[in-house]
Amino acid sequence: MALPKTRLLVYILRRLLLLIPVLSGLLIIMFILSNVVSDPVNAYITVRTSPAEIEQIRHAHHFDAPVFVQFFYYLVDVLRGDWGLSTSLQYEPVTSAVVRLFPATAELAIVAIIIQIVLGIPLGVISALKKDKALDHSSRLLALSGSSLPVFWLGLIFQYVLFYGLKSANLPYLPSEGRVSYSVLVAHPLHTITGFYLFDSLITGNLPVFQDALVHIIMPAFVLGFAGLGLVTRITRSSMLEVMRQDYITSARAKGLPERIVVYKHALKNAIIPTITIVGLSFGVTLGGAPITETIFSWPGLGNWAASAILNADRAAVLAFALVAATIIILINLVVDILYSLADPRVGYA
Amino acid sequence: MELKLSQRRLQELRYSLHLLRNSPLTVVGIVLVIVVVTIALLAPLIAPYGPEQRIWTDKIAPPTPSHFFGTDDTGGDIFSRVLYGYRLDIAISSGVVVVAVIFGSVLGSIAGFLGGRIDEGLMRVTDIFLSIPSLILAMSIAVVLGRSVFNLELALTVTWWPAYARLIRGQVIVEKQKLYVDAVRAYGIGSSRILFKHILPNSIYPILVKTTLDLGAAILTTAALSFLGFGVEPGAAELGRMVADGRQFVFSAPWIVSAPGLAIFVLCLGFNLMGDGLRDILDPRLRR
Repeated sequence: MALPKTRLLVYILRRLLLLIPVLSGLLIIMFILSNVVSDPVNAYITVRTSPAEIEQIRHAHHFDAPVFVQFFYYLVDVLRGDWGLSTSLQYEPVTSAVVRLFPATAELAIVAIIIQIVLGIPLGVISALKKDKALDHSSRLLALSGSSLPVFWLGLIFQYVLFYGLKSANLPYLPSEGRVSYSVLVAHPLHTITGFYLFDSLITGNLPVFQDALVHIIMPAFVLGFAGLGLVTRITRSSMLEVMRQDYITSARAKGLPERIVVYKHALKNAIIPTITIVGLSFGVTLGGAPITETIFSWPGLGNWAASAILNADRAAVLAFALVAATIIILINLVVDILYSLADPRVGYA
Repeated sequence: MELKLSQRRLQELRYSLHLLRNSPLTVVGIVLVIVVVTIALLAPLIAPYGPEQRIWTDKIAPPTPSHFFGTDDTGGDIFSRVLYGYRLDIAISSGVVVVAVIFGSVLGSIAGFLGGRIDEGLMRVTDIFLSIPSLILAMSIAVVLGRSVFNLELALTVTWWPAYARLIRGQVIVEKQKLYVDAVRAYGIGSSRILFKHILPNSIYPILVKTTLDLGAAILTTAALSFLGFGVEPGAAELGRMVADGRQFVFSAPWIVSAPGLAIFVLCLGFNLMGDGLRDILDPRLRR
């Protein structure tokens, strides 16, 4: 009879194994897009490469070999970190660009998710408790606008009101561009360790930069998280409603427990479970909004790079962004699945 | 007493309409959609100016009676361009959704009906597609194919079909288990007829709901891709493109970006209200 811990390990291992077909499939799609539908050599040449050199490069990367051989070398290249050159970044190697720009996008996405959780869950709970009252209707409207408002338009409205509007009225305003003000950075140089400005400035005790970075990240993170915020609120609300109807809640009340304990100790713990899944899922929605949000707020991240790459037909950049984003989402879904089975004892590590 | 099929269907329709009356927001959604689609179809008749018409003397003018939404930086009338933009966007999105529904339904129903390895294969393929955010997948296909409206539609269709395939497959599997399929089979009716004449019509409600919601989502994605510079030419009368072109004037002439953005919002809101309401009305657990 296996111990529970061993069963958990076996479950995790099995889920990890399921990663393989999904990741392979992803790589196949990326391969088709980069090697089959378009000429892959374009990711490795500059305007100054001579035709003879182009042929050399084509042969060296096996682009003239049959498709299956090409796929093998494609996998090798991906694992080696040879993803081509980014034409929109003066032929900087794609992997170096990804590493350089990743922290900006990651920081933005993480703050967006935090906003979704910190605002969305309480809002969902209260909407469920005060069903059909004013707050419930407002949160429904919020969720509805989250899936009806174009992200770029929301960002522009925020910029207009919170930057231009406040500034014109001589009130304190939120900055509309970038991660941090150049003047602040020059006056208080930041020692970057991880590339996450909020984290690095806190750790090195650089409070002016921390404050400035925080003020810069509020608007873009809120805009980025807006669509997911509505989703989280709604799912928490319907999950709470479902749970509150259960028998064990009625019996808890019948026992004479104060309503507060009934809600927080019994209902919420169970209602949270689908919310974990939704937060994980909304990561995908959030990352999908990154190109547009980063463009609007001139945020120097992966999304901004991918967005301008489209205009420059910089295929290597867009495909790299897609590969990174999809891989992250797949991994996050795996983590969410495992967390879900840990949290819900009814799911017996099936 | 067993009612005839047609009589039963009529009863269900009447009950649906009754539920509809109790759901004012859904009615609002339907009205919005009908109004917008109508003015989009009538755009050539009601638009005061052409979509590419430029009045160079009237650049960046705020809203006036002669230009309801003002003019942009090349002198184009924003009201007319929004109407034509609606036309283009609705055409693109409906094309994408229709093809995705048909393609996805065919694949999904075959996989669900036949089961086994074909079904497994379809599940794996759709899993992969669904793990990539739609905008990012569409961007990848778009950048590889090159800029054109057709490629935009192609990229979006490839992004959209997997969800329908899974939906239909799920429905088919559920229906397959039901008794009436065995009964029909006992009559000796062939598989494909069972599939198309009996199973699919009973699966139509979720498809209807999802299609409605997806029409809104497709318009958002179309506008997003156009905003980023893909699909239509700069200066074209497409709602996302208009926002991108007018972005530099957001503080000095905010009407240039507010009108197209508001237009997108109104239409998507309509589809979302309608889809949500339909979902509640057609939910078999809430009926009766």
